[in-house]
Amino acid sequence: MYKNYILISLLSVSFVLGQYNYNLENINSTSDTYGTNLSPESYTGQVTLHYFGHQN
Amino acid sequence: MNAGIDNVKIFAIGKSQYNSSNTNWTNGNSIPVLVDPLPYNSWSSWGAGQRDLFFLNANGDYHTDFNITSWNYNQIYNTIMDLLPEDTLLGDTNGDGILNVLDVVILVNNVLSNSDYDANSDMNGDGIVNVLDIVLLIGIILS
Repeated sequence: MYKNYILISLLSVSFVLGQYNYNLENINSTSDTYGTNLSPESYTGQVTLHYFGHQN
Repeated sequence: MNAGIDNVKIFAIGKSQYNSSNTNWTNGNSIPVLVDPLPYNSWSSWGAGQRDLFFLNANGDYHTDFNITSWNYNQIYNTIMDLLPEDTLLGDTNGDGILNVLDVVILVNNVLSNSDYDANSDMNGDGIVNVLDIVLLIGIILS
C-alpha cells in the first residue's frame, strides 16, 4: 500500500514536470538556432510563448 | 507583434504532417519554427489545439494558455506584462530604466517615422502610438 502511494506520487510529479516541455527541431533557416533541437528548459530566465498551429 | 519587449522568446510548434506549409511562418521572420513529429507527443502533452498560445514564466512554469483564433492583442500583451519583472517601465523607450528627454526623442522619432507599434510607447494604452502618447510622456517627466 505504501509502495503504491509512492509510485503514484512519483508518476504524478513526473507527469507535471514533463508536461510543458519538448525537444524539437527548429526548421526555420532564418533563425539563429536553425537545425538545432530546442526546448523551453534552454530558456530559463526568459518568459516564453509557445504557439501551436498548422496549415488547415 | 513588436512591442519592444526584448526578454520574451516566442516559438511556433507545427506538425510534421504540414511541413510543406511551415514556410508560411518562416517567411520574413526569425522565430524558431519547431516541428512535432508523429504521433505529435508535444501537442498531446501540452493539451494543445490549433492556434493555442501557451505562456511559461521565467522559471519555465506554466502560467496560462488561450486560443488566439480571435486575435486579441491586449490580452496577449497584458499576459506577457504580468509575467515580466515589475521594473519594466512604460515609456522607457531606450530601456535605461529612466524616463527623460531621451525617451521623448525616441518616441517622437517613432511617431514621425510611423514605426511598428511599440506597446512600451503606448502611454495611454489605446493601441496607437501618436502625439497623445508624446504629450503624456512629457507630462510624466515634467511632473
